[in-house]
Amino acid sequence: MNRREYIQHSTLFLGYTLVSGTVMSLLASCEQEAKLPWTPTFFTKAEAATLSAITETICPATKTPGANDIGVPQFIDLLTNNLLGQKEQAFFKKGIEDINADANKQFGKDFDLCDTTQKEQILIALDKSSAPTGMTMWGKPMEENPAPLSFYRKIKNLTLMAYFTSEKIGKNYLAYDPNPGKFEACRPYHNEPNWTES
Amino acid sequence: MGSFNFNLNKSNTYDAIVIGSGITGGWAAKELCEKGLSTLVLEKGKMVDHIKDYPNADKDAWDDTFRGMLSDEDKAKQHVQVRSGYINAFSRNFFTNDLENPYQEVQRFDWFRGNQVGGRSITWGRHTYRWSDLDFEANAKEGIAIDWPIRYKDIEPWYSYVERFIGVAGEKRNLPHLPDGDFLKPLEMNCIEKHFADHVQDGFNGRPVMMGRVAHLTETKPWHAALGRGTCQNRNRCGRGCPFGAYFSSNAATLPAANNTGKLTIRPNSVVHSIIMDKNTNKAKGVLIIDSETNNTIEVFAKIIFLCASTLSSTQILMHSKSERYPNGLGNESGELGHNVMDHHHNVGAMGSYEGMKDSYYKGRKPAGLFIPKYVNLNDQTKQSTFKRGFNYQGGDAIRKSWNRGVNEVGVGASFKDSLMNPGDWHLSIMAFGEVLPYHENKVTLHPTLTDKWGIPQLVIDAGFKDNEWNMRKKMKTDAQEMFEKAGFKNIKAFDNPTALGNSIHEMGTARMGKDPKTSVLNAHNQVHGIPNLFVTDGACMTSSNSVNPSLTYMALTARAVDFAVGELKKQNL
Repeated sequence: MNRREYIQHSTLFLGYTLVSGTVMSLLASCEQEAKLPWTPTFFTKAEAATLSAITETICPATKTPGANDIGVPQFIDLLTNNLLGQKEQAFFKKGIEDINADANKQFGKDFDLCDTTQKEQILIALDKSSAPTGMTMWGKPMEENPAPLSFYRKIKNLTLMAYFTSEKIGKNYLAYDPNPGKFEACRPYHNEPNWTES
Repeated sequence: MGSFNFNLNKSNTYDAIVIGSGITGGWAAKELCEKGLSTLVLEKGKMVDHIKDYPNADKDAWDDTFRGMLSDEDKAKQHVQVRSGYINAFSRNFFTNDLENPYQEVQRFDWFRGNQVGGRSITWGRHTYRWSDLDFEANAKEGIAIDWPIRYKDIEPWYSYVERFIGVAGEKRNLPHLPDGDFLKPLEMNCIEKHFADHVQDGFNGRPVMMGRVAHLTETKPWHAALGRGTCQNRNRCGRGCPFGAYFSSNAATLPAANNTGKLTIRPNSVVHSIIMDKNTNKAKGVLIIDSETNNTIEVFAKIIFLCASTLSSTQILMHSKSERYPNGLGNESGELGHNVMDHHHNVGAMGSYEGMKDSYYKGRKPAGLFIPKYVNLNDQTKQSTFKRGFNYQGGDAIRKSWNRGVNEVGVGASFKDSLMNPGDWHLSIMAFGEVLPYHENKVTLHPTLTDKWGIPQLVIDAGFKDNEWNMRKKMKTDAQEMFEKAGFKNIKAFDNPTALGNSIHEMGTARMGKDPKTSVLNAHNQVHGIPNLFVTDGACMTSSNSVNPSLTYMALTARAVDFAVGELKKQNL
């Protein structure tokens, strides 16, 4: 699927989810402040709610689990706390704040209170304006001076990584085969999922 | 497999001592033991027992809390090692702690080290290629540095000997400049690799594209099975240690073979301070070591010493073995010790995607990619005006893109997420590895005051690329792009990120072989000029670098040098 097809699919999808998105945001508006269903280690509850909304917008529950079902926001919260230095932690807080400010400017409310269409509109705009991650090969950057990554590109990267390398997705939804044995160089493809990465 | 003997004998005296247990130390140990010599192997780092000490070999991504990502704090401990791109929570245990093993970089130099039993044979890239006389004669023909004291015929039987033992999956191509070896059946190309290979061969006058020749068992010969080694399971978790023993390492093959003779003693946690010389005979008589756990110093003795500590560490030991007779270190009568640091230069190439063949996929994760042998400066027809020597390409990913393509695609939401569950376009990348010429001014020295925690002077590295390498890189990049264009790829991106010497992890030179003691450190048998019972057989011995992965040549030179050394010992010449 090429980029144009993706956008077409996304557009179709926007119409389809409008109703359920609205319902969800109504629910969220009642419950969000009162009960974030987990306790963040690094972010404030409000920041964590925004973070959850971002990750779930990128990877919503469909016939397969969503980011929140997998614990993606908890993963990012703990990672920010345990792995990142102070400068990067501050960058992440600022990134969440900026997305909220963007939502308030465009739609007059915090990001997590926006409906799905609005959330997607905000993130797609960031997708278009954010520099891509640089080329890598064998784990190394292949650009001499890669552009610094935006908060959005980083959070999208972490969201997809946390989601697709999780045990639940890796074992139940992708093709899990840690000890392939024989290598089959070329075989017919019939729409089966990706191999789980080793 | 019998367990190893770690205890020194009563007199601390052996027939032979091998310093280092990596790819050459393991070979020296095996050959010396099999020829009946009691052999002590000294290893700076910890014990790594085959299989037992591969804690991450069977871990899935989710078995690590952060899926392999390291904290800023962990990265600081391995601030040089992370430059390799290979360091994550599953692999870092086989790379050194940079804070405990400091060195000085006058110019950036990436020194990747594996201080453990097995050394970097656990983490090596496993590509194995023979040199040819085009390579051994190049210095002499071009008047660069000094001539190699050997030719292909001298090393050829040792290439075969090593290949048979380690097991090399490879395809015979009958190329004079990349001689065929004693191969197991080759790895197989997947659809995109076949497509690329066919188009490059058709489009560029028969330019050969083959699967990498790699030290993986695609079939098991009796001598592999006897060591408990099995065939490759296509897991691609090689750098964590292979529980099947499918790729060659000291731990899986040479050290167990040495141990089977009953002649081996191995002593981990033994930091070599210096070589002890006998003033009367002017021979090496032993090694002074520091036990890194107790800080005790111990002297061990032998008739023959093989220095296989890795390129720069071996030279560091020679330099630090100073005495009245040898004020500039051992083997430094020529003044060449520490000079002519080489590596390869890489991180240049291209990648692209291919929109066809959507009805094809693969099963399993092959442990290596494509190989495109050197095709320039082979003869008058392929002679280049802007640079000498040449380069090869090695393939990276040859895959259908996985979920991570989504990171840079514009898209969020349900259909976007669901689409990432399935494979995307085919993707292929190739990277060039080029020869680096031996420059006298690329050098290592000992720091006059800074030491490590054992009081051993730190190495100061001052080495960089020059015009020949920079000019070569232009062609490495444009040729890569052209091959992708010819093969009908889309989104072709050529790249060039030179990084620094050392980054190819093929560092070599600094104690070169040569015919003349006035201009070289070692002779044609890797014997230190003037000290007949001291041999250096790791990458330090190299007189030029060629562009292919060097480990096979190191192993062949080691086996050859042991054969010579033991012959000389029997003739009572040592």
